[in-house]
Amino acid sequence: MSVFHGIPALLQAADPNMPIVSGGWFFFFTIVKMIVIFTIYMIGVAMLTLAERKISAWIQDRHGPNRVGKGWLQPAADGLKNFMKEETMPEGVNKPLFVLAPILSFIPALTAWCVIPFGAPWPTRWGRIDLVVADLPVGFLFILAITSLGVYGIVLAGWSSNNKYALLGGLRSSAQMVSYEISLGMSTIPVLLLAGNVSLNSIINQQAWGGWNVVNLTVAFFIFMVSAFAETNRLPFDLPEAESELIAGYHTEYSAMKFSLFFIAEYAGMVTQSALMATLFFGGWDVPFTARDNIGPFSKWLSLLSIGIFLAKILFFLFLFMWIRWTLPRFRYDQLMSLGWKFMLPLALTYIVLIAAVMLGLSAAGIEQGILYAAILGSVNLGMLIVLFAILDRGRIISPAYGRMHPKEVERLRQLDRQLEIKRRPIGAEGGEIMAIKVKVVERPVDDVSYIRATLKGMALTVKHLFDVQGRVTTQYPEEKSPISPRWRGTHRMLTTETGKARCVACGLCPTVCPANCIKLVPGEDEEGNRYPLVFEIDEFRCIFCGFCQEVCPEEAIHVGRHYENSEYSREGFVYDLQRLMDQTHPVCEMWDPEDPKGE
Amino acid sequence: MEPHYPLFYVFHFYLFGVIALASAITFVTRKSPVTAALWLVNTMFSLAALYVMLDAQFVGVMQVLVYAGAIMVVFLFVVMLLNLGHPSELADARGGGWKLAATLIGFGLLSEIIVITKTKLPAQLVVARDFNEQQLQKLNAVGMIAEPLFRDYLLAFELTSVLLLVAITGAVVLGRGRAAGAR
Repeated sequence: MSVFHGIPALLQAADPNMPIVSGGWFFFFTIVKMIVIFTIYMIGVAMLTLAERKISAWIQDRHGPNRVGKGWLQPAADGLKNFMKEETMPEGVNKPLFVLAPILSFIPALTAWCVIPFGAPWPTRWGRIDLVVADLPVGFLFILAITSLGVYGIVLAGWSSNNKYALLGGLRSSAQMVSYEISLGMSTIPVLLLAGNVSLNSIINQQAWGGWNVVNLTVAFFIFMVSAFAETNRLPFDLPEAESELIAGYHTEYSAMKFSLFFIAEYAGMVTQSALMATLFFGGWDVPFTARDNIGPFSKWLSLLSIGIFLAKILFFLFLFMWIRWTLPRFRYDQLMSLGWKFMLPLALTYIVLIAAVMLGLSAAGIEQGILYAAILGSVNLGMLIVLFAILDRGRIISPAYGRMHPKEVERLRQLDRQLEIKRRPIGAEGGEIMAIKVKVVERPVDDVSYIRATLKGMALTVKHLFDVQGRVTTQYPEEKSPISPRWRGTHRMLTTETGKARCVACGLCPTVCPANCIKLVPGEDEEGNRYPLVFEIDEFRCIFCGFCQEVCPEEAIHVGRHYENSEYSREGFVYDLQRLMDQTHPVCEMWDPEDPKGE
Repeated sequence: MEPHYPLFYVFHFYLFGVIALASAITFVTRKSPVTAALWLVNTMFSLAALYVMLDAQFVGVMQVLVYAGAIMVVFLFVVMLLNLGHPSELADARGGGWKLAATLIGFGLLSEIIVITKTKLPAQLVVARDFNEQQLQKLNAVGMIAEPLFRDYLLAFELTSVLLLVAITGAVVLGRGRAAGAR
């Protein structure tokens, strides 16, 4: 075991000529680090909302936000909008918890950042500054502990909202996060075994020496990544807010900035998990092919480079989060649970035993951490990956709705089919005893059954669309309008005679035929005995735009028109009186083309 | 010989001590189970802070990780099973006899604490002021716990594991029995 303790210790014994800043300067620089991180983090999270919308748009062959400052200021506009919106407080909520919940979901993701090292030590005149806010000796465990608290915010939000959908979302999320937290924690144990320590800086230093853990511990990375998706409630594991089932899940009742905090928390969690993946499995901030960033002499340029490398890794994982979100559909709840408990957890436990055994063997053989060590571990992982993806992932890892049936079940169905074959006759024919549908067992190709393959195939497709710049189409709405059918039935219009009077003779046919009862007509009569409408009102809110009024009108007076852009500040504004109907100028609907009455 | 602690340390000791005690009292007195559970979380947090101040970072973190996780399960029970809209019926401490007994036990514990703080510790329990810091340097945060746990107290540790295994088996049996009964 001395080998494993020795290397990190060697690396930690950094440049003795450059002690850590101490005294007042220490506090000063810590506060500076906090402010810088907080600012960059918050701006980054805001820009992530834009990135998500842009990437989703590009994957779907759209342009995405391109209005406010060519799209770049969209997050600022969204933030401003959320501050201006009304804070709703539904009846029956538990007020203190309702207010506390968004805060509780946001703070843990932010706090986790104070132990993540983000760059090589920065030399100053007063000493060395470690680019981490607080270099705790229990660094990684601190992150586990703090991020596990994020679930409180979601559960409390769901419970305090006094809403069944919110409660279901909260319950789902607590079950999901508690389950996947276990495999998340278990998947990192091999990392800690290799590093021989739990502080994140020693994990990074160990990787600088012994190779990135993504090679050494590929399977652990796979488990960690899947669990990280579940922990952040991102697709394909976004069941807590599954909008097709639970409206918006735990934040159904939230509005304005409180809702926004949940949104920020989700992205903050994504950033934290991305940073963790980069740190634990991709070498963190380490600059490859040099040890100067680890043991000195330190330089500012090297520190800047290491920060850049770290940011690039985080951005890659954030992109991966979004890429997968816009590729995969949501899991079913039982699939989620069986994946977590029946597959991820046993796999993680097996993996710990396997890696510990390999490490013990290598230690006994006297091989030290280095290229050979990494190569052996890497080949062990490769073998395990082949087992996982070529053998286990055949409709067994998760059972999608179309999953392959058990061979015995297939045989049973075939047997049933053979039995029925004897008895099956055309219906009504003599001797017909049974009406049955032929059981057909389809052998599905591997592509359909393997989840991993299907995922990779989907990701290839989405990324193809992502970079398809030419194919992006978005109708730039107010300036550019989609063509509408000549038979479009929109806002009403009353046609007038040459003298400027309404053509309507108040015959009363349209209020009679109107299925929505939205036309109010009071007939009047002038001195010559001509009928005219005293009052003619159409409530455009009630109207279903069936166009019966136009069809039934004997005078061709009332029409539905090719116009749909109505907006008012009050409901009353949508009751159109006679004058307003006469003032409309939009083209009216051509109910049918006389030459083509069926609209073909 | 009273050791002198810096003001910073003393301030935070009393701060977290007061928070822990106040939260504990609120936890006991709240009628709503959800609120009570939240106050319990707060107590655990303050205790974790106190552990960290004793240079026992690992214990502090585990306090948050394990207890927050465990309380989460309590939460689930509260939310799923107990939230029936009648928190008053769930109120504990029934009858005067129980209250009296609880008070007596409380005073007993308090007097025990006072006695312990007044008496001189046995020599083998006394360690140097910077003992924890040295251990932290020599091993690491986890090693400080793991070293004695897996060397000096291995038997006790393994026995505890067996106890937990029994508990898990019991849970499985209970769960299976109910499912079989339903069928």
